Amino acid sequence: MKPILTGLIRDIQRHPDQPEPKQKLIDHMEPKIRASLTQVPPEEREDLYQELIVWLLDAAMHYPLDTNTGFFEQRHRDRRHTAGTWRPER
Amino acid sequence: MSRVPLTTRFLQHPPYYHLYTRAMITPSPAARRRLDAAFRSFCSEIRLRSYLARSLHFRAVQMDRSRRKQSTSILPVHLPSPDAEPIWEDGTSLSGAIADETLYQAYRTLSIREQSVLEAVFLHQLPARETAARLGMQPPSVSRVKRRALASLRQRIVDLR
Repeated sequence: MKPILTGLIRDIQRHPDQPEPKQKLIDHMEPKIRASLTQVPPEEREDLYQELIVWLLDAAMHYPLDTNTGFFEQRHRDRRHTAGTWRPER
Repeated sequence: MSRVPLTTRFLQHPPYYHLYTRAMITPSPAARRRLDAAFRSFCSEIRLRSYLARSLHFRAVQMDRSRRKQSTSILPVHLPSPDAEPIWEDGTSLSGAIADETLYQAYRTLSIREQSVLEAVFLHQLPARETAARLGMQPPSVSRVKRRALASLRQRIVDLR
């Protein structure tokens, strides 16, 4: 799996003045945005579309990309869970 | 989203599986670092994709909810109990299940992160591990955010009333 989205977000955060990565992100998420528009009546879809684009670019600027979990650490967690030794809080 | 563990999904990709076998057959710090780096990249992509997709949908539902709220009367609270059957139908949201105006206003003051956690725990009835995986958090953080969100809700309801 190519890290397309994370690469775009990283580019946006590093070069916030450049429009290219922002446009690529919008293009990449376009199908999901269009699908979300069906939640509202047709006359309100243009407003929602603009709102979602604004939110998407804002989220791209502030999304924390760093994650500290390595493969073996995550594998250990998965095994603990599947073995039934870990119980989530309800 | 799949319930298959992240590491299993990761190994389903041949290039990553190749990295894994190399790290297991010839264990060295360098091979392990390469595997970890690939896994972190994979996780970040999965979590980011999930976060953006769910948040976009959530915002659309919120807007529709606000629109309908202006034109319909207020109904009693219909919060699903934690013992209810899980709702997996796409398009559901916790904000859409709240009809009490005070509770709705209090809920809207929560952060997106807090709303997402409450939605996952109370609407979709996901365990903390699954919630954490979907939202890109650690399980203890889910519990902490849930506890803080419920406390905020209680306080804000008291303030609003």
